[in-house]
Order: sequence, then structure tokens, then C-alpha cells
Amino acid sequence: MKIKGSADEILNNLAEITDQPYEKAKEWKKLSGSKVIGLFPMHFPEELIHAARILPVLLQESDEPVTAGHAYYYPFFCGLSRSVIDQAAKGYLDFLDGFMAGDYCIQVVGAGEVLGVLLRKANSMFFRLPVGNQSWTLADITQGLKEIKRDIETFSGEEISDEAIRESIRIYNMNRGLIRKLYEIKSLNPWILNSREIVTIIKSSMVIPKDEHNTILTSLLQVLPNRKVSQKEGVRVFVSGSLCGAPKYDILSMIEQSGAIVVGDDLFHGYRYVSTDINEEMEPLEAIAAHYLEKNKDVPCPTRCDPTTDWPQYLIDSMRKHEAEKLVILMAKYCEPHMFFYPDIKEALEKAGIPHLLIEMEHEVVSLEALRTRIEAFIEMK
Amino acid sequence: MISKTANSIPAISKVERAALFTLGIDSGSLTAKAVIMDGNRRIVSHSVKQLEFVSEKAVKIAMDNALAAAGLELSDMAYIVSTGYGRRRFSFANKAITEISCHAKGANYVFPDARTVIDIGGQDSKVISVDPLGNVQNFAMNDTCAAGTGQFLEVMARALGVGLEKIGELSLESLTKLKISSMCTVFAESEVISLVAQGHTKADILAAIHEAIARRITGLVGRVGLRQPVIMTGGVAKNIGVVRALEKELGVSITVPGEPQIVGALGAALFALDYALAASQNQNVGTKAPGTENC
Ligand code: SF4
Repeated sequence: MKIKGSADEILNNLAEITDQPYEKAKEWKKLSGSKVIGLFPMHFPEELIHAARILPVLLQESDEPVTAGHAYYYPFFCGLSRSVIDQAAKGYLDFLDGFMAGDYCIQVVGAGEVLGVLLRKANSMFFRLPVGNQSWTLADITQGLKEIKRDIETFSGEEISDEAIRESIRIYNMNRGLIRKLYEIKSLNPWILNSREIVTIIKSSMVIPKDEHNTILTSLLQVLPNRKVSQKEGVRVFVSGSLCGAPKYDILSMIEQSGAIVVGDDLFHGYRYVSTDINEEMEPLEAIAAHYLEKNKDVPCPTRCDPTTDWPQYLIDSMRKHEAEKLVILMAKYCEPHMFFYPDIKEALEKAGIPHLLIEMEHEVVSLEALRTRIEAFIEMK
Repeated sequence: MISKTANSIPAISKVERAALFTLGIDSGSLTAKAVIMDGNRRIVSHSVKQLEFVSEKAVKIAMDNALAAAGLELSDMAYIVSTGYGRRRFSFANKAITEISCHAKGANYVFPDARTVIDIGGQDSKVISVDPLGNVQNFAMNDTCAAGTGQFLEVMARALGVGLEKIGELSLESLTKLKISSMCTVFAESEVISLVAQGHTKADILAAIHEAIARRITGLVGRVGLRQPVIMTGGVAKNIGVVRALEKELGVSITVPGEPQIVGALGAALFALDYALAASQNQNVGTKAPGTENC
């Protein structure tokens, strides 16, 4: 892939990668002779898998309507889980040597079970990630990491050394840091990257080797400040939600076309993915365990059920920090963790006098024109 | 009609304002509407044209009719705002604004005290909460299907063989309460056909249809919060059966303006006037006119 070039060229290359999100992994597999493990978003120790010289790939929601997968999963489950199952049923995930499910969301538990049926040749692993934030949680998560490390070692046939994990943590931290630098540049000049481009950058990071992505980001950071963009005044908007699946590009574009500038986000395919580094000094498994608690302080996740963090308050604080005037909430239809928190978010926002628009994203989009009217009317509101 | 709203009119002379004309066009899914307004916030003329299907031709007819009735040319218009489903299609419009903002503004013009606007159009329905200046405070929109909209009523009227304009009055003659349980246009149509087959009167069936629509709109109202007084706009407001059913379901009385269909176009013309006045004021002080971009 062409790594150098103008910002536009680099961004176009990344967009090509995310259009066919698994092609790079297949290529890598052929060239390296190594294995690929598919992960559900959002909470898996990618660093541990990387340390085993296996490529972790975060499975993505595709734009295709769910057809073959319909036979295996309920229509009232979230788009991401239904889409991943559909991709497996259509044979698109046959390149995976293994996959990892987990227990942070019931729909991922179920989807993992179905993948076990559909991807018979792939090794099925399960990451137990205790929720909450009690005195015992850190030790409990570390134990879960030890268990999954053992499973990865059995799968790869090689022991994973602490030094290898540390090196992977460094590479992943670098990736997060470089993307956060992009966010810093964007905070000074919000037009420099639109929200679709930000999502593309982060989505591409999830599906290609991180060291390669770091090289691309380093080039991008060199040329980005010279990028010519038109700076049209607009309503400053913060975008929240879209757990697991990337928001539909059409919706992001509609927000910006309606006269808004997206100045911040807590999307999984956004700041949520890169908010927090892993401590490089601590014992590596404990450092990864601590990361689950730390990142939740930075950007609270509804699946973590952490009573010490407050997502609604985080949103209010972020709005102030980014001087955002309005909030758009993108909620994947049937995403239970998000639906569970929404009433509290709504109440807190109303109390704080922050206008918000809730957009329920269905996997199969129904009426984009009506949605455009809702978004435009929301932006027009005084 | 002279507005009683608090929207300020910039200080240019009354004579100058009278010669300042603006046009609002509302290109909906079933009808096209046009309203011409003068600089003193008076409606000069208006026109409604039924669409066979969404077409620029029908919008042009509505616009030409309004211009002819006012004795004006398109070139006389100082500013044009388009709204409605097809709002971005018209290159001659200076700006496109959503029907949600336009219905709020138009409703505020005809009924400044209104705090909730219920707009049921051809293809969707909206509930809008408005402030005393006609600004949108909150809104909810049924955007998933045509259930409970003008198109839904057309299908039902056809299934019963009753003219659309007659179904409202006829439903008020209902004596026996029936229930339509499905709001899906296709399923509801078959329910209606089976009720006909069972020998129920058209009046009873229509009353049940209107009640079903009212229940659905009440759900939308719940999302926004009911604030009184309530005004109803859009073509379906002409159906007295739906209005009465809604009043019963919500437990409030509803005001229906004389021309509920033109409220969106009226709001668009009012927005156009705001822009035109701001532009002429800025020209007076030699700065660039705002809002002349085309969305
Ligand atoms: S958190 Fe939401 S989007 Fe993610 S798997 Fe669970 S239900 Fe689906």
C-alpha cells in the first residue's frame, strides 16, 4: 500500500482498506504464514494476541442486509452481532483461524455461540471480563487475562513472553497516541478531518497490523497540517454512542451537510477506542487489566457497569470541554447496554439544558430522507 | 392576517417594506404549496396544487398561481425559501429550511399562543413544541412508515369507496365503536375490507380508522410532552374526524387554521422575509447580505 502522499491520498487509501475490511488481513496471512483471530468489538486484549504474533482483527458491521444469517440469530438483536453472523453464514469469515467472544454483552455471548457453529474450522475462545469496579475487580480481570493468555498459547503453540507483551503494548500505545494527536489537531481546526475520515482512520486501525498503521499515521501527521479545507462556520456538535459498530457514513455526512461541525465524539470507532494508554512499567497482564478500569474513567462504557463512573456526566463535561452546542446520540437499534443508559442520559441532558437528538440506527436503513429532515431540523433549532 | 408575534421587523420604512415580497414554497409528498408575503408580514396570496407524484412541475404551478394571484413575477421576490420533502430541488430558492422549523414558524403566525403543533402530512407526521417566538423547542417525527398519514387515509378511503374529503364528516355519524388494531397500511386495509364484509357501516369503520391514527399521534405527543394550546396543521387537519378523535385521545381542544395546508409554506415565506429584511438592512449599512447561500 502507498503510505506516503498528500493527506487526501493517504485518507483515500485508508478508505479503500475499510471498504473491504478483511482484505489486508488475508494478504498479511498469506505473506506471513501466520494466523488471524477475529474479535468482536469492544473489549478484547488485542495486545496479547499481537504478542503471540497473531493478527487480531476487529470484526466490522457490513453494509449488506442480513440474509443468510437470518436463520441463525434473532432479528431483534443489534446490527453488529447480526451482521457478523451473516458474514460468517456467507463464508466471508472463513479466513479466520480463530475468534474470540466475551461476556460483556449478552448479544456477544450469543453471537459467539453461533460463530462456533458457523466457523467450525476456527478455534473458538472466550474472554471472561468481570464487570464493575470493586476492590477485587482488578485481580479478577487479571485472572481472566491469564486464562485467555493460556488459551492463545495453546492455540499458537508458543509461550507469550512478558517482553513480547510489553513490546505489543508499546506499539498499541503508539497507535492510540498518534490518533489522539489527530484529535488534538482537529480540536484546533475542526474542519481538517471530517467525522467520516476520523471513523475511517480508526476503523482501518482495527483491521490492519498496528505497526503498519503507525507508519501510515506518522506520514499523515506530517502532511495533515498543510491540508487545504474550507472552513465554514457551523453549529458545534458532539456525537455520542454507536457502540461496537461504526456509524453509517451517510448519517455522519448528513450531520455535517446540515450545517454542523463535529467537534468531539465518544464513538467506539472514535475517541473511545484510543482514549487511554496501557501502563508500560507495570507487570503486563496487570497493566492490561488496569487499562479496562482506567479507560472507563476516561470514556465510560455502559457494558462495564462501573458504579464509580457516570456516562451522562461525562457527556455534559465533554460538551463543555469541546464547547459543543448540541449532542447527537447514535444508538444502534436493540443495543441493550445503550438503551439501558439512555433514559438517564436524556434526563441529565435536559437538566443541563443541552439539546440532543437521538438517532436509532437500524442495520437495514429505512428512510434516510426523513432522517435528513430530523437532523436538519435539530441543527436549525435555536 | 397581521401577525402578533414578537419577531422584530428591522427599521426600514413601511413603504419600502410593503414593496418587499418573499416567497415560501412547500414541496410535500402529495401537494405543493406556495405563499407570497409582503414586507409588512401580510399574506399577499397563496396556492395549493395536488401532486400526481412529487414533481417540480406541480411546484411550479402552485408558485405561478400564487404569483398570478398577487400580480407579481418571480423576479419580484426578494428572497425565496423552500421547505418540505423536496426542499433541496429548487435552484431558484435562496435557502432550504426543514418543514419542522417552517411549520413551527407558520403556526406561530396564525396562532401565536400555540405551544404544540401537530402536523400530519401526506407521508409523515410530526409533533413540534414551539416557544412564543415560533422557535422549535423539541420535536418528534414518525419517520418509519406511512401509517397514520395522509397517504394512509387515502388508501382507507379508497378501500371504502368514499371520497377523501367526505370521510371526516361521515365518521362523525358513527354509532358503534369498532377497533382497528393494525396501523400498517397494508394490514389495516385488509382489516377494513373484512369489517366491510362483516357488514359494519362505513361511518363506524372510518371512526375506528381515525381513532387508530389518534392513538398513534398521541404516542408521538408523549415523546415531546403535551403543552397547550394545540394547533393542527397539514392536509389531514382538514379531516374533522381525525381532529375530534385526537381531541378525545389527548383530552384537549385543538385549533385548526382556515388553511392548514399552507402553514409550512407560510413559515417558509416568513423565514424568507427575515432573510430579506436582514439583507436590505445590511445593504443599507454596506455589508454583505447574509443567508444568500443555496443549501
Ligand atoms: S454493546 Fe450493543 S452494539 Fe455491542 S454487541 Fe452489545 S448490543 Fe451489540
